[in-house]
Amino acid sequence: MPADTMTEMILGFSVIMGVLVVYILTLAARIRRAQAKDEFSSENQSES
Amino acid sequence: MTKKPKLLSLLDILCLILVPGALVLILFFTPIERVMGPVQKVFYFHVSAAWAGMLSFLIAAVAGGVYLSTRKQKWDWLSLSSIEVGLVFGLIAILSGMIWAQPIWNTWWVWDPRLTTTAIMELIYLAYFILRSSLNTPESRARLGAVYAIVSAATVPLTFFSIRLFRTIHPVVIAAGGSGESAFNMTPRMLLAFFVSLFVFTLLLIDLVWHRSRLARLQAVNRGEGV
Repeated sequence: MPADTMTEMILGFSVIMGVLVVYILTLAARIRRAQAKDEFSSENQSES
Repeated sequence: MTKKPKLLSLLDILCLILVPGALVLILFFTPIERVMGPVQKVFYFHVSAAWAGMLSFLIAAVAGGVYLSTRKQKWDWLSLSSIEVGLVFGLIAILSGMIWAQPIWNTWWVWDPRLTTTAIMELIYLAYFILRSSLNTPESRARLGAVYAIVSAATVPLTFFSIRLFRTIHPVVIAAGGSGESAFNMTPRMLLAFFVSLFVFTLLLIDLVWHRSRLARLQAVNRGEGV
């Protein structure tokens, strides 16, 4: 009879997917912020 | 900002399909292990994350070496990106291992050689960012970062072989001759899910490192670091 470890399995996959999702979201946010800064400085350069 | 390469977009889509696909394969296709029960299924992603983390750190060392010989910034960005992504995968491996250990070893953590060397490896790579942030010029950041990435890579084989070099309670996944004292005896379905997970995490690693390298380049442009 296998041990009843369903809760731990759910917790394990939640943590794995949670860490991945949080990292991907922060990476996307950093890319977006850097792109906005890049566009802003490009516009400023073309104006001056 | 250079346009996003088509191959990177394709890799994004592949990862978006394959990561949930691997999860479904593990949850509904693999059998429940007869002693540990459902928590054993965490093993597929746990090992894959550890593999991806170690591979990342080795890529960082190689990129660091290439940077030192060519002095091209793109290799520094690759090294930096690989270490950041490797830390994320390392964290996943540690946390999922702790969750597996709680019902199986009856404790979240033991100072076992594999767990200890993994924790040390993670801390050493975390210190890489402290080192970089303490340096002022991009050249010194890249040069010392590359040296640090190369030296730190010594922790990767130490962590990998710790279960063979020292007395340990950590299971040996790939045992010599396929049947070590504590090796997992995997059924064909388990083996399939295991190799699919390894492949998917390797793809995810390439995808994330690529995105992070592009971000590093963009940040260098924004800082006016002569890109």
